[in-house]
Amino acid sequence: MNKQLLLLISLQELDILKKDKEKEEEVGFELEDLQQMEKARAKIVSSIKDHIYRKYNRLTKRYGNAVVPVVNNICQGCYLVLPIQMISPEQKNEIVTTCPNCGRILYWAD
Amino acid sequence: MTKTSIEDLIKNAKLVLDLKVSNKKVVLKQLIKLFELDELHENLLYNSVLQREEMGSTGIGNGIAIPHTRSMVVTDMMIAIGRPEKPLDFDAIDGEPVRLIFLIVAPPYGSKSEYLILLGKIAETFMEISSNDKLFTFQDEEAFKEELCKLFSK
Repeated sequence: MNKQLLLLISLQELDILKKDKEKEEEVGFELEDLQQMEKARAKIVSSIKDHIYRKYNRLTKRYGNAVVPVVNNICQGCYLVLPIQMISPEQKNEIVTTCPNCGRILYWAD
Repeated sequence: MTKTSIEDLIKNAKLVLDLKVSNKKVVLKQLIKLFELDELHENLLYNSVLQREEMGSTGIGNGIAIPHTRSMVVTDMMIAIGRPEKPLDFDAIDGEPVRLIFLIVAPPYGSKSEYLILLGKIAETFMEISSNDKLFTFQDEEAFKEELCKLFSK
């Protein structure tokens, strides 16, 4: 799997965790180590190429999520059926690709 | 979350009633394995669950742990339940070992409220359960699940 894609997935999951923090606390969990969270985030960001990180930020700002899974060849961000010729099976998750409609970064989940 | 959907989740939950594990990381790996994902997805999910644990233990006290995450690896909310053979150190907030572990994973997209409501429901239900509850003694998986559904319907 493409390392940049892997890092983007980790980054997004960390950002989701940050977003859920307040709600988690409401149901009784304690997320105390914010410093650790920021450190982990910074470490991931330092390994992501600048232009990809900029894209991630732009997409997150616009949609709330920058990386989305593809299930049954459907982008789970905008539900576009992706053109079959868009990517070969060997390239799936091996290169960073974006949805031709919404521009989100794609992760083939199946 | 409706009673029916909790029941459905429990009915479809992966379950091990005699987990032979020595530590927290091993138990998380074993529970994730129950979802029968491929190696890549298994590792992604493990990292995600571990990442969450590093921010604060999900051992909520009273012998219960609810490790959880929202990950792209899954397309639907899923639960794996493990009952360790012996109480297990989970860095729980009350310092006590855990006797029952609910691993909950949900996709990052879609409604997050259902996932958070389930977390809250499990936490609330098990805060009051006695350590002598028969749930800790069942050997039969169906009987265990049935009892669990009864608890959640209260």
